[in-house]
Amino acid sequence: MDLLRQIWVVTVKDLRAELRTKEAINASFAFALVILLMFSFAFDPSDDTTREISGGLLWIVFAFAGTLILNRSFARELPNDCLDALIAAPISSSALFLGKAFANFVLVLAVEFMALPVFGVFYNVHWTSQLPELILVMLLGTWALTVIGTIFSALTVNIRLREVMLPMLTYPILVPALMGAMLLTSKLVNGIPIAADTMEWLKILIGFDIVYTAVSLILVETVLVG
Amino acid sequence: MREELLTITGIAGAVLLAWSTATGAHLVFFYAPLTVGAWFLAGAAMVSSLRFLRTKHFQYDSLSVANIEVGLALLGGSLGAGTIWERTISGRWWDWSVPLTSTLACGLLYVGYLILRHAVQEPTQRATFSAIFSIFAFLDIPMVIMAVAWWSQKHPKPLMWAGMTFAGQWPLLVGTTAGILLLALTLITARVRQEESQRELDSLRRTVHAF
Repeated sequence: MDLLRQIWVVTVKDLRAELRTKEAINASFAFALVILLMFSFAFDPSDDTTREISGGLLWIVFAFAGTLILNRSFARELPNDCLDALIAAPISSSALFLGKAFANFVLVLAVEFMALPVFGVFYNVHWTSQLPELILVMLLGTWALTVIGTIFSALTVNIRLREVMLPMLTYPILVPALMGAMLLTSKLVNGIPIAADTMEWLKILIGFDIVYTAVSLILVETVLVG
Repeated sequence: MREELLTITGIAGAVLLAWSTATGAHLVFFYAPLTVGAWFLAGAAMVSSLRFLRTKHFQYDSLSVANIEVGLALLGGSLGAGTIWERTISGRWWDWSVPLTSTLACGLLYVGYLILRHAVQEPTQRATFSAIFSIFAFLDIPMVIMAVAWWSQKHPKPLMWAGMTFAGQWPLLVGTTAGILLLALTLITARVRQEESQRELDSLRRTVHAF
């Protein structure tokens, strides 16, 4: 029970800090819009082929925009040595990690849900036709992005070239999860529900989430304390 | 004595590889051991990373970086052999075949490992972070291979070795495998020594600066 309360406190603290300044979320959403616009110059938005690869484009936007939020997650604690205070606080490292991961999850999802209607309008895609399944895929894909992003945000917080290192390390690891999310989203936004042949991708997304949440929880103490 | 042994294993490996090349070994005899060797070294690096996290002995860190660097060299060799082979079969250098695509994706993971290592200054922190990353990377390998295999089901291609028979050529396969193993062993041993000398040098430098 204590653990849940600790996670809740960290999540609320992070969300409150972000909502007061709105520095990462505004930048991330603006960035998502810019990439969506840039893609529409590269591919003809009304073309059928573009619609077929739209899931891929959407997840590239989410991954890029999400990195901006994830980069800030631990870097925000550096001024005034807040990170040391958090590590010294009487809570476990896993509670700190999960609290931060949940806060990032909410923020990245918020950006994604703001970008989704814009994407629908720009690319003339009926993204609402399979909405419950699309939401499920977005939740699973975003958790994969957040859990890897949060643990590597903690890992890179004190090293040189932090902003470059995070995407360098996270994107190759996220390959299986992003592939699954991209292929499923492409089908769903084109009105094709998840069937037996695409079920494998859902399984790989769930498997990825479980494996890396477990490994991150085991290793987070070593990442933060050494 | 150890120096001589190292030289002998290196020369033996090179001679074996030269012999199989001169005898006309098929590219698959290089490609397969190089790929399998690279996976094996990635696994060995994860084991030594786990040992480092448990014991904090720097020799395991040296072993893990040596395994990954030599593994990446094997992976590079396997990608080179694979693309040439692909070219002879399909006429294209890169045909998005499952083995080559997953090898490249996993190779990029370990390039990230080397970049991370380079970015961390403090030795203990560097070893710890590298060990953690190597665990994350190794766990990703089966998922990457599965994902790439499922992805390529959409447009299936014949297996690269479909329709080939290698009857009676097993000495060549054994020769290249043994040659690659001996060379890898030599390189790993040399790299571990180099890493340990570097560490010793750094610690002496710090001692001098302390005075």
